[in-house]
Amino acid sequence: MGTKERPDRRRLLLGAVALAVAAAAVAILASELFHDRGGEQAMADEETPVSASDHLCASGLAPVDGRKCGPDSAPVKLIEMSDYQCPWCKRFVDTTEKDVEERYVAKGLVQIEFHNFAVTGGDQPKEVNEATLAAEAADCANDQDRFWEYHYELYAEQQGENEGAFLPERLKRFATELGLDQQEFNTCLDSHRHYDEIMQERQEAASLGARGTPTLVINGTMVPGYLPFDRFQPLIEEALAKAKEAG
Amino acid sequence: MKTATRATAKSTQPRYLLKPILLALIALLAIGGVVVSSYLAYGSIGDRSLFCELGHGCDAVQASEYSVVLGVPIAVWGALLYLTILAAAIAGLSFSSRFGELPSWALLGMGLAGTVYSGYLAWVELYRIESVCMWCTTSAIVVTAILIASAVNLAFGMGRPSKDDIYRKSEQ
Repeated sequence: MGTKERPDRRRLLLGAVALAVAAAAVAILASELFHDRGGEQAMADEETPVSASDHLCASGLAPVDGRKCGPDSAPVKLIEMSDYQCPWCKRFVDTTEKDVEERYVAKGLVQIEFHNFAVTGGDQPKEVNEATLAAEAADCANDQDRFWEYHYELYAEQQGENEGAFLPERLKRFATELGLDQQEFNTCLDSHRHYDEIMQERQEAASLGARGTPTLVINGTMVPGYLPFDRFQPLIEEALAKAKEAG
Repeated sequence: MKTATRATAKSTQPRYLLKPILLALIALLAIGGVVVSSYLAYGSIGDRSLFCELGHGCDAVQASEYSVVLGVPIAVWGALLYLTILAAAIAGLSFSSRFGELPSWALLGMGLAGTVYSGYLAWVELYRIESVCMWCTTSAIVVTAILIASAVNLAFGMGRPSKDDIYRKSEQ
């Protein structure tokens, strides 16, 4: 009896292990191929990561004025309080904001205005605080009227929090790659010209009730956190309808 | 003679009691897994704000593209696995005469598949996202514990009560 049972159990064991390994392999393969949105869309995204030139605000096709993108006459004003190290902000910029640019900013219906809310560096000194350093660098690019290109470059180069991605050397290299006036940029960054403004913006955002990044403000209504475009679009439409009603 | 039988009954008792104890433990672990996965799923699809909280940092793993597979948050897939494990453990506890060893083998398979996949996710966290999610690690520990309990159950807990055990029970 025992001898008959043993081979059966051994076969069952082999079968269970084989099935389990096969199931895990299928799950891993699905995760590699169909993560994020699934199917062809995810693979297409893999092949074409979002770069600065993919954004309307950095393409030269939309009117930009400093940290504003879109015409001043736009009925909806979208304020984006964000941190360059924040992964949710990157996700918002790469997906939702990109769609907002293409569908609303392009038609002059929405104006996006960027506000710094550099929270991820905590209270580290300004020399090593990568959240404020990145924000300072973007403002230094803004001094040369190249804010949006540098802004998207920072999100494209994001690599976790406080892990060296936004230390001065790298920030200066991004400026070189974008063809900014290197000397002016370096002087601006090294002197921490915009640090106090960034800290003030942080205080203002907190006093307005922002608890984290990204925080979006659509015509005065605060929307905390990342939302995919399909959940964000109704809020834009609602604000457009209200603006239309108000005349 | 009777003394010897009693001695045998005493020695086999823990062996046949091991199975329900282990299955109950697996069921409890699966409930824990459902709780952890539901919390993570709530973060993915619920109204909880997805942002870097002032003073608390970001949840980079949940923010990553790897948190969704085939359009469904990975935590929902995890919750489904734990619910299936729970169902198999309950089936093993309640209907062992009908299903025999099948629930125990299914538990081993699911525990192994879950552990291998959790290992892959841990690798993704460490080397691709470069951030570790505490709740994901908890889930990995839970599914590994389920695998160990399932293996112990199959190796040592499949003894059935002998005639002597039944006699002993009826005597009580």
